[in-house]
Amino acid sequence: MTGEQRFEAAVRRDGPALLGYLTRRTDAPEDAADLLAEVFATAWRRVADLPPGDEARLWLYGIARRTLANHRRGRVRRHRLAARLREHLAARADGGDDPDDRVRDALRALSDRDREVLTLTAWEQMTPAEIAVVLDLDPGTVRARLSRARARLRAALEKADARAG
Amino acid sequence: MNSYDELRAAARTGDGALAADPEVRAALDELAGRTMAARRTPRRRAVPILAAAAATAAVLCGVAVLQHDGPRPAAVTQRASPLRTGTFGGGADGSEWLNLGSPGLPAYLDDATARVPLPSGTGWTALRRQFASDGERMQETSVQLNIVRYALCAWHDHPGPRIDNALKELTEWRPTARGAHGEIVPPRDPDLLRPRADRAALAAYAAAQCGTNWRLAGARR
Repeated sequence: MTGEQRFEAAVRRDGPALLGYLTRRTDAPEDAADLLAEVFATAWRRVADLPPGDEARLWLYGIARRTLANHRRGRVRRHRLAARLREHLAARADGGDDPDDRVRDALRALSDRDREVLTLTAWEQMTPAEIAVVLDLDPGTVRARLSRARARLRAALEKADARAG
Repeated sequence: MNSYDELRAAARTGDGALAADPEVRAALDELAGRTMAARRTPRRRAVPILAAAAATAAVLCGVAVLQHDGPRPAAVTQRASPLRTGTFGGGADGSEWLNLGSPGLPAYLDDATARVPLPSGTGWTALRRQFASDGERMQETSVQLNIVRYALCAWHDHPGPRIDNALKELTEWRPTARGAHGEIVPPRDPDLLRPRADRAALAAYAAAQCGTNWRLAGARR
């Protein structure tokens, strides 16, 4: 399989999940289109490093995570190549799901570290071992971090319920 | 419903819904195809272009015709905006003003970043893009200072297993900017030394300087 074929296969298989990952973490869904364009560009530039099989998915998540961090550090770059996807996501958002503000507020109150492991497990449905690859951490560290983060989320939600009730 | 279920339900966009949307799939395929094409085109076209140039040169030489008043070659145009301006600062920072719009900037950044460690998988792309703004100039000490600041933010955002070694390496980093008489110009930001040696200091530094607070430091003109 050539690098081109491996890249095509990986983005075809994991593209929607990566788009979901970025959409859930950006304020404007259409920003996710530009970030995904950046992820694809980085992955294509480094296609020689693209690992085989399921590791490719985690490798792409690693790139997506760093792209997102860069995005938070500065402004999102508008990609000409992402115009079609951007327009579609913007239109989709108009009739999209309504997020649960109570949970989102509780999530927002957590630290970046807690939020990251929680959302990777809840939204991306990753195992601690997979999260460890994406975050470049020891799996034991991820498990401990996840356990603490779940407890903090539970406490934050209980606090919100007590305030509301 | 427990907190974990609630968290899952709070995801704005489900991957299944995205994967099932034919327009999303088509747009993703198009994006992937165009990404590959955009990066492939210059390399693949290089050979035919060189061949065409060689053929043209052969024809021109064969008939002994030389045109002196045609368009200026790219190399000549690029020399019109050198990186080094020959203008040095006065006072505390005597380093040279660099032309950030110069085509010489990428090579300069290659050298300047080579000694600065970054977490694996991260790169300098975002910083390079910020520097590359045509027509603006920045003093060399500021360019080098921003490279270290950017690395510190990257290590804070992606604290991999190599972080302690990297911070140690960064403590040994010294600027190489020189003044008008060849003397090394020291950086003007002594606060930058602390986060380079200490993870707690790095966290405090990052809270003030990284994330949404990130800006290129130093005057531009």
